[in-house]
Amino acid sequence: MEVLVNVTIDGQQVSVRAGTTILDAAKQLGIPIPTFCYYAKLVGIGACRMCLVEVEKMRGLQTACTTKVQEGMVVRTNTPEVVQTRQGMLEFLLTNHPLDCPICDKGGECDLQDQVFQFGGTVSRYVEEKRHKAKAKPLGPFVMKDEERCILCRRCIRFLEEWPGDPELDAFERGRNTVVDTFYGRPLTSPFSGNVIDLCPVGALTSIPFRFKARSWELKRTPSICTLCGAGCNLTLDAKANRLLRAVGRENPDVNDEWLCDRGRFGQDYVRSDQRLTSPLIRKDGQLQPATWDEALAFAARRIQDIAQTANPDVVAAVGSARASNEANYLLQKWARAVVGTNNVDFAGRPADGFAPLSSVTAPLRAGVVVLLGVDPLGDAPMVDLWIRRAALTKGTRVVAIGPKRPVVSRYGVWLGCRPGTESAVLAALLHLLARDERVQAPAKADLAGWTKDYAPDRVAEATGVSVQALKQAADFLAAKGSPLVLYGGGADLSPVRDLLALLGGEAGYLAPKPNAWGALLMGVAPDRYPGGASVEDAKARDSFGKQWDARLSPRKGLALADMLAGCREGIVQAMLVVESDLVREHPAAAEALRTLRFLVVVDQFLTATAELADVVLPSAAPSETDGTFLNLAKRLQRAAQATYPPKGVRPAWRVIADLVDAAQGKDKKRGAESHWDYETAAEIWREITRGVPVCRECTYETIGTAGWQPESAAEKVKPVPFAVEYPVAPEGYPLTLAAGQALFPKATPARYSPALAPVLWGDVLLVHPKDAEGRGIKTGDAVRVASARGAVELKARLTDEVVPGCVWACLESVAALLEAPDKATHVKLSRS
Amino acid sequence: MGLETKLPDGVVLTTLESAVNWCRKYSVWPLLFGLACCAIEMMTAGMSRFDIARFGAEVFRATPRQPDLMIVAGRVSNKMAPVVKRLYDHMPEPKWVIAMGACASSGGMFHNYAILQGVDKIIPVDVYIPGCPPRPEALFYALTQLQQKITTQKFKDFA
Amino acid sequence: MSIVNAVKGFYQILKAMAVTLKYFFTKPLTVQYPKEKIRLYPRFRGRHELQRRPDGLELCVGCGLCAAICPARAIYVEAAENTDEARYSATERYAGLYEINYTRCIFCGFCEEACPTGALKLGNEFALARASRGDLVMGKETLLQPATPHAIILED
Repeated sequence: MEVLVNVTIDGQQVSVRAGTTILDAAKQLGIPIPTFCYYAKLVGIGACRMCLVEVEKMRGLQTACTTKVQEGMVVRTNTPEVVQTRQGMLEFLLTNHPLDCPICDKGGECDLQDQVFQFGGTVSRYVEEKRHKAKAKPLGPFVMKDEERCILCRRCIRFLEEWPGDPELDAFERGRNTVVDTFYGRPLTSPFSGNVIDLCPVGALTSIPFRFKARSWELKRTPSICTLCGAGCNLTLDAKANRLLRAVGRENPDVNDEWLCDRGRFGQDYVRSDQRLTSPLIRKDGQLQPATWDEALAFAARRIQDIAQTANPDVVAAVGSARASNEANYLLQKWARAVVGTNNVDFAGRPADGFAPLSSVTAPLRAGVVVLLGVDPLGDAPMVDLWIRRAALTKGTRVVAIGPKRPVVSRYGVWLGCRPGTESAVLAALLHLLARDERVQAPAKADLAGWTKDYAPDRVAEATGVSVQALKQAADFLAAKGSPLVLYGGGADLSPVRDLLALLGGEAGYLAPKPNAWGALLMGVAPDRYPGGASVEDAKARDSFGKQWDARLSPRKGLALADMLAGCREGIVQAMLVVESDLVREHPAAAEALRTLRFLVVVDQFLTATAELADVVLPSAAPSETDGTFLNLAKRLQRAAQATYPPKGVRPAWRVIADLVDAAQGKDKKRGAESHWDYETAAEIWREITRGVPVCRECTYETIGTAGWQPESAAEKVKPVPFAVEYPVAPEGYPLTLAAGQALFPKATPARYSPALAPVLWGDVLLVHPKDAEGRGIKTGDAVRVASARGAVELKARLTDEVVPGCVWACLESVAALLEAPDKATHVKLSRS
Repeated sequence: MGLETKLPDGVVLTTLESAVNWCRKYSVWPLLFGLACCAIEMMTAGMSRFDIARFGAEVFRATPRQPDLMIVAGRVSNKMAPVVKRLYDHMPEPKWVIAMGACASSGGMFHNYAILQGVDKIIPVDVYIPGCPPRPEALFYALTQLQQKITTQKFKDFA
Repeated sequence: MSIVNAVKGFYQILKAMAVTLKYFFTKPLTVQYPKEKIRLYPRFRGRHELQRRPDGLELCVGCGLCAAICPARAIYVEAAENTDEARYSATERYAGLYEINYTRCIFCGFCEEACPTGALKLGNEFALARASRGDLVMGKETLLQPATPHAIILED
């Protein structure tokens, strides 16, 4: 039962929970108290003395942000003494503030400016020389520090301690010499460092990429979402003169609270890259050469039509993208099904059958233990990483990381380092321990004890390289805390995950690394499903969509992406339309397959490695340049709004597909020919989608709004299932296993084109364990050659114990050419080159 | 040179083009109309202190059949635009246009639905005069600019 | 009656002609611009002139307050950062791009009042007519030049 206390503030009575601060109690009454260092999402410390109020029977004035209310407390916030003190505090702050507002990036959105305007005196009495400290001192690659402007509110220090748990900043020296700095002048490396820029109430911490780009009042602010990972963080895109200049976190407690990772905050400027495609390209004499839209569309449409007619429609394939909006993906599959007449539609990173979305991006807050099954949330969805850190710091949540590479968050728990492809075995060993733990009470316990008898920790440790001690510690965390949140990636085996949930409850979710994996699936970009999920073999659904699209639809299931690529070599697939997907850098063995195609059309923002192989390249607009909806990793429907116009000569992907159809049908729009492909805006496509997809039926752009919309989903009962784990066997001559993942700043499209991220991008680096390097004479910085059965690439080695012995790790886009299918381990050999 | 040396004093040789341009240059008759505050300055330009007659441009004509120059003096509202356009169309060739003041040049501070954002959206402008309103001298400067432009004109441009 | 009227009328004509004759002998009022300079009061507002410090550095720091106050939205400023190799102003920041669109400008002088560094002054150049709109968007290279004197500035 909560205890209520009665307080009187400015003569008004209010009952609040015991432990509330005076500031929060006053907020409930609507009484404004000016604050500076106080921030609702950080612990109050009473550093700035702006919120001083008079409390009866207490000596002196009290800070409202830290003083807890007591029964019968009488508070006054507006006495002459309080008002005079506030003015005095502001005057003190200003004596040490350089007042260089005209050249300060915070000018116009500065708390100090606002407060002085509202509560300050008029004329400064300070005539002496002001203190001088360092100006324009970079803290890491993104944050610029100006020590003169700092008012020592410690918001930045507290944020880094309380949210990401990276206590990299602190206050040094004392008195008027106090400065906020990093320890030993090291750069600020926290992946969430950009948030201190928003938090800083003055211009002491400003953004380096945005430095002097615009004044705050000149910006056109568009509420939108980030599309650089699956979390779909809410942000505001700020543009001046049609140039996207910065992204600022936007409050949404269900997704990102109000924080952003540095990738999302600084990576949005890829739309301004000078490598953007601005004109269609056609391959002539082996070279891609600029062409007009009419020319390129007509050529692409005619060639695809020719190929489909000479063979059959099923030699054409369409590849959508988890990077493209629902609208573009919907039109792509509609094009393939209704215009071409094939079900060959798929995209890279499609959630496999049985994969489930997270209940929310904030799910770690509700978990006792976060189990990372071969994924590193810092690379795949940094905001999930932040929530794990926050849960660990505030709720004592533990992390059990299973995988070849140690994630940063494993510092809040234990890392079960194992070779790639053996994660399920390690999980089985955990199940073995849990099924024999008396703290675990579940009906499935007996079954599991039997199923897991072959997975005793010492046997699994031998086969996978994991340490028995770590296994026992992880099992201890799971048994003690319960309710795990299992995060898994691409080729995960879900059977042991189900068993874990059957034992301990909790939830499991696919950590989708791309912004719209669930959306593309829902839009029917799958060889066997229509929009909404109905099977292509279901005659009723086929009739209904056939009527809606005015076409006869193929009843045969199409080819999945891996089969399409395999089919390329055999002529089963001869022409392909790829929309905003860099297959060569994302999908194993795509390059050689695409080279054998007769005709390849790529729609993308950049001349990606895939586009370089194309016969026709059509430039498309970025998500910030057109409207579109995205479904994040928790299946939350959100809108990416148009913040700027696309560059001249660039069209949104949905319009490109619609124009391609018009070009194929040769319809003359001037004569008012009736067409199902006359879309003026993305909203029109969305209206059509809602007619065919029952989940979104009630949903319009207006109801999605700026906050997004999450359909209710019922938690399903998990039944335990038996499973068997196969240990990957290394073929002769390939002693090491290659693991691929995503870095925080990956060299993947589109982050690789961002000017701001350029200095921190993960290069072509290979992580090697010192033990493996020793015998081969490899040192950090050496060029090494990694070879698998599929090919070889050259990378730079970095020795680190972040990976397990026997395993090398690289970013997916560097080694995609070497990889086997996502559920198979890739064996490689390593040598100095 | 050839012929000039044999001619008596006081005889000047020139091309017909230059001669006609010279005549036109010193008899640019403006159309008598004003749209807003700039028209006050335009009228002032006709007064004795400024005396637009020094440029041969004092003959403000109240019919579009006779003048050569249209001084768009003031903001052109969307409602007035067809009228201005019609007056211009009624003027005989050769004809010139001066956009006088910020509003006529670009809409000026009236960045709104009612004002044409520059008279050059409907008729070709030869000289733009900044100012709100411009001084009469600024109009004269524009006139001299226009006169310079006239001297370089070619017959074939009107053919 | 008619004779009286005729005499009266003739007298009126004489009177009027006398006025005309009087001005015939006075000095002409007309200012012979452009042959001679016109006389302006110092508060006349003509083309902007960006000022420099005595040491030659620009006073403008590219804060954009002039653009913010401009009622005609005639000013566009893009700031840039000084480096040790290329220093334009005394602080960290300078105006990388400073453009005034004179087809929009209404010479109200708000920008001059808003300028925190006194970098912007409205001078006395009024002869700004140009044959194209593009020529009337003037950048820093023009605005930093002092105006050509077309006028004699009077005592205020």
